[in-house]
Amino acid sequence: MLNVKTLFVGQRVGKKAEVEVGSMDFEYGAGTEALYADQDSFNEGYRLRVHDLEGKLVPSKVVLHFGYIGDFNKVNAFGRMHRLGEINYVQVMAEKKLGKRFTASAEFDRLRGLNLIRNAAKVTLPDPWLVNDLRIETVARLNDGATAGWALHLVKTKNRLGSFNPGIYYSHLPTGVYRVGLAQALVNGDVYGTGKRIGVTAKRQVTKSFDVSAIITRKLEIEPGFRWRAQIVGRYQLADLLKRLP
Amino acid sequence: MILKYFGFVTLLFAGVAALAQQTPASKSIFEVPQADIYARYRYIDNTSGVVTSDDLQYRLRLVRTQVRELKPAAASPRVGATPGSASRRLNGC
Repeated sequence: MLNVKTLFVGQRVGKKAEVEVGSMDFEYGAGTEALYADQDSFNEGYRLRVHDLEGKLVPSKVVLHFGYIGDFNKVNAFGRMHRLGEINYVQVMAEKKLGKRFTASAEFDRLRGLNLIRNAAKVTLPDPWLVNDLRIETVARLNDGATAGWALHLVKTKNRLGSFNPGIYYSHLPTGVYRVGLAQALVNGDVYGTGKRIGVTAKRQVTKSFDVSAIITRKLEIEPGFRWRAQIVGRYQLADLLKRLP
Repeated sequence: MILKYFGFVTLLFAGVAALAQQTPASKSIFEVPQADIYARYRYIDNTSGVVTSDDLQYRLRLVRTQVRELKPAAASPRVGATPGSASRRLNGC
């Protein structure tokens, strides 16, 4: 089955800005799908992105996004494009890169009447250390039942095994963060789900184009939803192959 | 309502304009920055029981970047699309 999940038009304005219109994926900043939208999800709207900004006190990237989030079961963009006229989501995000090792982002979101603040930081640590990639992120709902969640990801990327990357994460996304009435206004990554969860991850880059990744997670509290979850994925990247075709 | 039509019209005209740009015969129409196919096996222990599933999915990201510059260092319209198989969430979780 072929589904066009996203379909957008972008226009570069000068060298540091671009605008996009249509059905698009999300801007995650330094965060992940653990506390934000599933990477398979989509939204319809209008986005301004200014990047490669310079200056100590100036963000490296700024994003302003007006759009619609919903229709989670309508995979095809043509069935969602009429939502361009319905704005239920505003994102204002700033991202700052400090050297090669540190990236942080902060954003304010207005989503179906919810006021949300999301912050994230990603740090690349020295090769000999036990952990080489550290990422921490938080999300807070400020109104109508204020609550907050956070997640921590630790991954070893530089080791004697070369392309083997073991990791561990903890995530806590209370169900109430994105709840509006009985529905979820935003669906985070399906591997993470909601509630308190701990998991181990591993990724093996078998060849330049083929990798195998695995994850085992366990929910740490008794609530409806999945408790244990294990998943193994083999992925082959075709982009280089397609580029070589005449 | 105005916003709705503005979005549609912008999308339509910009898409047609970008696709209509002259392209040298040696250049492909689309760039492919991302394309992958992945097979997955899942084990999920719900409070109501155990579910296992396997699936095969694919993603292809196409970007049409204008070859002929309209204005130096000013304009570079592009059209993007991400065809793919059904959402993960529709496949059992």
